[in-house]
Amino acid sequence: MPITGRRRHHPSRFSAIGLTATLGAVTWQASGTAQTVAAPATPLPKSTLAGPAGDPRVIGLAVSTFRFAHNAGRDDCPAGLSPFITHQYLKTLPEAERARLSAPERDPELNLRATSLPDGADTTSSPAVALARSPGYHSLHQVQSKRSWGLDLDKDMPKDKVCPHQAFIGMDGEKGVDNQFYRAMGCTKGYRWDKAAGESVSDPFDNVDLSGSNSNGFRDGQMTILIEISEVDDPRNDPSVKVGIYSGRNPMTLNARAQMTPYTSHSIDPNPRWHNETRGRIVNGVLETDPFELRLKQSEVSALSEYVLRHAKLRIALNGDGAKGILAGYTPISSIYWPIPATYRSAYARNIKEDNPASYRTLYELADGYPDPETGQCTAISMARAVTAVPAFIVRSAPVDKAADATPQKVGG
Amino acid sequence: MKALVALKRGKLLPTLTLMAGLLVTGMAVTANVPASRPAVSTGGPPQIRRLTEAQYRNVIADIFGPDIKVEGRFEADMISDDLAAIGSSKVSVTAAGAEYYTNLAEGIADQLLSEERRARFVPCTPKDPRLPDNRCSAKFVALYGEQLFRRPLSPGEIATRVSLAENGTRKLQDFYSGLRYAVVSLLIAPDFLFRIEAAVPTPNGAELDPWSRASRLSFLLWNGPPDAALLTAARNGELATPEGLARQVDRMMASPMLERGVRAFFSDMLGFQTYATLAKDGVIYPNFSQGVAAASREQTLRTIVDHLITRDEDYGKLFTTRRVFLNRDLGALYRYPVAAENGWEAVELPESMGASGILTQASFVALHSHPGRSSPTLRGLAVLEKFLCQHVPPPPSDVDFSLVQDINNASLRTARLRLTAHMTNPTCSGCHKLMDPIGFALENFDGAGQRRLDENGAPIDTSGELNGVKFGNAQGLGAALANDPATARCLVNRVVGYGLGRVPVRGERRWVAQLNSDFNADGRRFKALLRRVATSEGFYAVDEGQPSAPAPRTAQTGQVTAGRKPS
Repeated sequence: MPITGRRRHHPSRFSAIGLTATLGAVTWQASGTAQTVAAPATPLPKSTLAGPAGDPRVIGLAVSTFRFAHNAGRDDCPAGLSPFITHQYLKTLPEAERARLSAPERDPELNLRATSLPDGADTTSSPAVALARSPGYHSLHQVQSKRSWGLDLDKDMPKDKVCPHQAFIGMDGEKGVDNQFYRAMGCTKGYRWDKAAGESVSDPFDNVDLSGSNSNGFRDGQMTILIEISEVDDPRNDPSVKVGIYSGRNPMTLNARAQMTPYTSHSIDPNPRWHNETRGRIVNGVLETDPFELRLKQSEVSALSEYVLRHAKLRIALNGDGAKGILAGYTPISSIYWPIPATYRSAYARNIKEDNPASYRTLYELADGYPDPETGQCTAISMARAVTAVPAFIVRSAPVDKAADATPQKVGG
Repeated sequence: MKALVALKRGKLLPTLTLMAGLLVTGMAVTANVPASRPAVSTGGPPQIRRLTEAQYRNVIADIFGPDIKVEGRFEADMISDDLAAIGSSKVSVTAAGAEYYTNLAEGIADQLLSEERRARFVPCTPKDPRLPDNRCSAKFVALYGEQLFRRPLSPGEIATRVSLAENGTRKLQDFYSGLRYAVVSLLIAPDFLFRIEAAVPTPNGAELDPWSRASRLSFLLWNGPPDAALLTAARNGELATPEGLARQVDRMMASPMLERGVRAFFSDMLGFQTYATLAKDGVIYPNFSQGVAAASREQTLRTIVDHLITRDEDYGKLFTTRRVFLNRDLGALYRYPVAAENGWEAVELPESMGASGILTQASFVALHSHPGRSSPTLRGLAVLEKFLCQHVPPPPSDVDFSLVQDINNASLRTARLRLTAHMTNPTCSGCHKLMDPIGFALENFDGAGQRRLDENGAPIDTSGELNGVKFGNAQGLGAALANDPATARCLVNRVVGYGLGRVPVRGERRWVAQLNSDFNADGRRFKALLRRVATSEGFYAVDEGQPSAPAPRTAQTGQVTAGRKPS
């Protein structure tokens, strides 16, 4: 079923021309004489460009957006966005000290104290310690809405690989959608697409203007993701196709609108570590894959250099201009959390008042996959990425020797 | 600034006598090109031609090395009679231009005489670097002066620069600072900035002197100055003999530098100067980037070099070949996979893609379109002017183009329909009937060079006509152009005009006609044409008394050739 979910545009977004076209002819009084102007002509259809060369049984795609599939609905966060760690810290202080530290000039001191443990360690690096020393430490505000983008991941998982959790209803009405990462982080600024809250886009599928800093990894080739669908007999309906998701090694090419240029040729990174292949099927133009293990190169601030999804699934609607849909799976919480203190983010977290202990706690509270065999604590969390892609030609480079890559060579004697 | 041309005025010899003289002396043509009957040419006036920007850069790179940066502004080149090479004979140096060239000269001099490089360029060491060393200065000036002026300097010319160096050294107490003045003096001299042709009398009239021969030859084949071997050949009289001239021509045509010369010629002939002002509407054609624009130019030049030089194929096939060069920028425009991550690869496009040589490459269809739409008129005009040497007058100043420009007209969805409606105006139809039937064949390529199947949802009719030959699509146009005798004739005229720096005069018509005949007999091989021109006496013949050419069509580089731009 096609993935939908574009937000209705705010009425203020209707252009004057569009509004005029909607209303029809406009009549006004000028110098006492009524004049009528004919409505602008309906735009002509765009010219059809010739189809691409290459193997007709292969559909190549280059991913152009890869955001968290989080929607910003009105009923998401009835308690509001998760407060900053400084707000929580101030609540623990006597009134006089609270008033003193609330002064703007005390902000650096407040940040430092709110994110420090008594022995000087920072709470981002030692979240478990911070939680242990503060029994009843709060969790983040969790998403309360019933609907979310995502896929039903656990329907074909062994029961001993999942933890009980509440599922969403998908944006297209599908039941059993698993997106616990959205539930955990969806009420935290920076993890939701809400222009009213100061984010850059309001729609996770928003594919305009890749010139910003959020697209650095895409632009410099560190995060190029290629999708190749082969053995395609019918792009509308085909019961069995091969699907490959690969890290590419060329930067994206932006056009005059700062969008990804379609039909660019991309080389697959020769390291087979980042070659992920599975089978799938196309039904009414929608591709859905079997589950597979995914590993891709990653270049995001405070993230591991690899993006890992377990029991991943891809569901994308194919159209003439590319594709749009969801990539979902279980991400190890350790790969989400620990790169934060491992990079410069401890100091950065201090400045932007991230409540990382609360994040740590909430992620493990809502984790729903791959329980630790000893403790039973689920160690991975379901998540979904909003994917859009443009048509591309995918070129294979000479493969790296897989054995040599996997086994470190002994150095020295 | 223009120097006097030394030419003894001789009597104009009767054409028959000249023909007899040429038959006696003969012109043995060696290598793979069979000897042709000597052609008749009285020659024409020698020229004084300002170096183009590309030639200036080539001269500095060839003499001093590619690491010497040439940074600064240049006087604009001028197009006359469809070639900047002819325009170069009609320009001087403005007051602003003198400043530009002085700035360039100073920048070059500073690099040559820098501490890091002076040992490489100064062939001697001054006895005391704080004092003048006229012997060393003279050695330097003579060495590089000959290369820069493309002839030996006179004792007086050397002495002038030595004196400058001496005065500068005394004032600045540094030999190299003083020598800098000599370098700048050489680089702003008319003898450097202009290719000043000189003639010497012969029993049959006059001809270029050996240095002017060498210069005319090297700029034709290499778009650069004579190298040491060619200067030596000029000095010892080798260029005055058919065998010696042929030896140098063959050496130069075997050099990799020939590619540079061929690129320069076709860049001029195809009007690639207009790339400087090429702009596409980013909303209508978002995928036409600067990378695509630059790549499209390179694609066509690679096609030409590959076809005419490397493979030595028939010139006519340049308009029909499906072999193209692609890099990844152009691969996206063509919607064709390109394996090479960097650089170029040659591919043979399938027939279904409708390619027809350089006519359907972006350098033609995009360059001769509007920023937001295609233009059969501009493309037809370009075919007539660039490949057939035919001229169409500019449109009248009061023509209403609104119908043609209305790309949102629901009842006239294609350019053909809009132009057909426009042509109901009798003022317009006369010229459009010449141009549009040619350009219609290319309408499957939009204003950015992308192949399209329809225009605004309406089918595209690509039928057309060229000089009475009807065709149904771009491949048909390419074949018609390849088979038209005017195509070869036009190329020959362009090569001659490019080499001479002027339109051939009346007395050269038979020579040019012979060149055309030989070109066709040689299978329209471009290398053979170049060799015939370079080795023919007609290329070096001089007669100042010939009637001058008709008034030229001139324009500054980058602007419309004349009048308003047609639709």
